[in-house]
Order: sequence, then C-alpha cells, then structure tokens
Amino acid sequence: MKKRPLNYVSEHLNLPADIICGSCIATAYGNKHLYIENYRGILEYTENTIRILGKNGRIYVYGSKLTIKYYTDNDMRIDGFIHEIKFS
Amino acid sequence: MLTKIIRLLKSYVYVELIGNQPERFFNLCRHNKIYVWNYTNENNKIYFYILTKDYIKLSNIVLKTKTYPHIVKRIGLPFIIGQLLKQTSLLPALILYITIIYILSLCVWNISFSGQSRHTSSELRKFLNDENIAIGMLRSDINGNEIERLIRNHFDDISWVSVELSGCNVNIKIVESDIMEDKSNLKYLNSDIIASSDGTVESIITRKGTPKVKCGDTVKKGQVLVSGIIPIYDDGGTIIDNKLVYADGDIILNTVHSYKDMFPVIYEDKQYTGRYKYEFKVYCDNKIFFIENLLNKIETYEKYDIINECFEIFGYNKFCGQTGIVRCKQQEYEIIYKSYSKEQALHIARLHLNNYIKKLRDKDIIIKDKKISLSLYKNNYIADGYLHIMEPQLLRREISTSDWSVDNQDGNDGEDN
Repeated sequence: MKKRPLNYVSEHLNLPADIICGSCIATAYGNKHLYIENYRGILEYTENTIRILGKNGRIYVYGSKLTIKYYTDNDMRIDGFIHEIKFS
Repeated sequence: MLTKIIRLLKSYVYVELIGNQPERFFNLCRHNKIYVWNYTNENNKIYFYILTKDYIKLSNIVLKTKTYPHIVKRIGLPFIIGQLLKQTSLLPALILYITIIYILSLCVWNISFSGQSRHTSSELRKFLNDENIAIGMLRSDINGNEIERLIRNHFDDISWVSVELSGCNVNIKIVESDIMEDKSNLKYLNSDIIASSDGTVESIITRKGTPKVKCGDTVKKGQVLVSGIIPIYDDGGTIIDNKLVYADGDIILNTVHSYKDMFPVIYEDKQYTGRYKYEFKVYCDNKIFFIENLLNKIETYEKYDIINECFEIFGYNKFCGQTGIVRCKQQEYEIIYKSYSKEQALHIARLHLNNYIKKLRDKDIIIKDKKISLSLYKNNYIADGYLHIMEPQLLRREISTSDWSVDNQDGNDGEDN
C-alpha cells in the first residue's frame, strides 16, 4: 500500500524514483561492466551469479567470471561477462 | 593512476578468504567503512585486496563471520624497504656509497672557459695545468682571485677574468681586449718609403710625409718615394727645423718582373705493385697504442706509402679525449722513370706559373701582361720571360742624421747678412 502512492507521486511529478521509492539504479556498459547504486547488501556471490538485495527487491546478475571491482556504501561495480540481469 | 601510486606507497595485501560466509564478510566490511576491492571467485575461493592498515581492523569481522583472511601476497613500498633492510650488506653499501659521493664532491671535475676568441680552451687549460690547477684538485684549494691574477698576468690581451666555483665546476669567464697597434715594435720609427725596383709611378697617395715623386715619374731602385722628413719653414721661407715622421702612403709602381722556371724532362713516377699490409692501433687523446704484429716483419717493403684511417669509437670527453682505432695500410710501390711529353711539359709549366702569379696576387700585386716561353735545353725544360706588374711599394729606409739635419738642408745660418 505504501509503495503505490510513492510510485504514483514519482511518476507523475517527475521526481527521481531512487530517492522517493528507494529503487536500485543499475547502469550497464555493454555486457562487461555493471554499476549498481542504492542497495542494501550482497546476498550471494559466486563466479557465475551475484545476488544483491535492494530496498524494494532483489537484483540477480548471471554471467561468467564475475568479479566485484569495488563495493562501498554508495555504489558497486561488477565486471565480467554478464549474460542476464534480473529484477524481482 | 594516482590511486594506484598511493596504494603502493601505503602498501596493501592480496588475501584469500577462507570460510563459509563471504557475503556477510563483505557487508560487514562495507558497514565498517573498510575499503576492499577486486573481489574475485576462483575455484570457489574468494580473493580480494585490502590496505595493510585496514587488514589489521578485520579482527572483529573475522570473529563474527568465522572466516579467516589468509595473506597470499604483500605489495607496496614499506614491504620492499623491509626486505632490503633485512639484507646485511645493504647498510654498509649505502654508507660506502654516501661516503664515495661525499669524497668525490670535494674535488673539481670540470673547468670550463667562456668568452674567449683568440685563445682556445685547450691553451688556457694547459696554462692552468702548468700552474697546478687541474681537474681532480680539491675545491678548497681553488683560489679564484689567484687564478684571475695568473691569467691576467700571463695573457696580455685578456683584460677581465671572473672565476666562479659552482659545485664541482669551475667556470672561468674571459673578456679579451682589442689589439692596439704597438708602434714601438715597428722597424724604423722614422722612415722613408723607397722604391723596391726600377719602374714608373702609376699612382701615389701620401698620408704622412713629403712626396718626392709624382704620377708618371720614372724611378730607380732605392729612390725615395715618400720622405719622412717634414721641413718647418719660418716666415721668410727658410727651413728652421725638420720634423721626422713615419712616412705613410700608397704608391704603386709599374715594373717589369723577370720569371724563370726549370724542371727536368725525366721524372720519377710511383707504380703500385698491389701488395699491402695492415696494422691496427688504438688512439686515445692523441696518444697511440699498438701491439706490433711480428708476422709483418717477415716480409718488408723497400718503398711503401702509409695510409692511416681513423675510426672514432668515443667522441671527445674531458678525461681521455677522443678514442678510436687507426688502421695503417702500407702499400708497396716501385719507382718508374718517365719523360714528359711536350703537352705535359706545357701543362706543368702553366701550373707553376699560375702558382707564382697566385703568390704575387696574395701580395696585392696586379699582373698587367706576361710573356713566357717554354724551351728544351740539356734535358731540362725552361720556362722564362717577363711579367708587367703593378706593385705596391712597402720598402722602408731609416732616416739618417745627415738626411734631416737643418744645416745640410740650407747653407744659410738664419742671420740676415
């Protein structure tokens, strides 16, 4: 119930969703680099899968030879061969 | 790039995380503001990099997550210094290096000259070497004032010298004075200009003295052309005194100059036999070193030319000059007697005449006309004839007492009888 009015407000008033709704920002540069912001933590890290917990859901990154270049409070960067990015 | 340099200076470690909860470990590091980078998963093993000072802070996180960060590699300047300090020979070598540098810095290793044009650096350097001032002496022994005094006293045409000791370099700046004509060295301070040969005066310009001839006059050898005696007259026109000067002027005489040249018909010519041998030498600062090849002494040539070819290895430097290899070639020849043909003799006679004319022209003598003939006499070619030339007169004669005495000039003793 809380999320609907927030989504409605951010869409109709053109306000940034990551601040209003707490949405994750995922920026992909091809299939080699992926930048993620506004997350809560890492749930799983393997060579082929990275699961990240966001404020409103989860992000699944599938690929091969995945590495986390850096992981700070504000953002993180994933390198490797990214096959799929899934939001749930 | 800057980040990498800073990390190297601070030092960091490459760690393998052993345990079951790596994700919790990452989250706790992030929560505690411990910066970790380059997480990789190889064969189900987690590796990452962390600064050395942050690694020390991992103890609480390690206890919570029941993991163990095992250091695989240590990277950074502090680790390198630590390894170097463990070597026992480093410290003595460092002390020895510093000592050698200090000892070398006490000496002068370069003497440079600037501002000179008439004197070469080698000449000045050689002079200072003779005065025991050379490369390798102690800096404390260099006395700038003494060097300036020595150079100024020895070289008359150097008016100002400045010596600067800059590190291990001695920089000497020189200012040379203009050379003034020293009349005290002139031969015959008071002199006349006389004719060097018979001829006709072509032109005469007198700057100092009394002209005795004019254009078109015929003169004999030894005749005075411009006199260095200037008579001083009184109101009545009587010579009361004579002033002696160094006669100066430009006088050109038309004269006839005889020319004779002789060379034999038969001459020696070199014919190379094609046999030669080599000898290799090393030169260093104008000194030559070589090991004699004894095999060369087995066969010697009676007559041979020596041709030296130099191959430079190192250019000029202050310590050993130019260095290189010299290849000496001894080329054998034999003498063959030949005789000149008429055309060859003519060609040689012309060459000799041209050389002679060139020497005359170097003395500012103008050749107006020439008549030379070539003849054969008793196995010799003779080229003789004459040249009409315009020659500047430079010959001088000192003025004698009898020439300039007033009594000799005029029988009148000055009293009006």
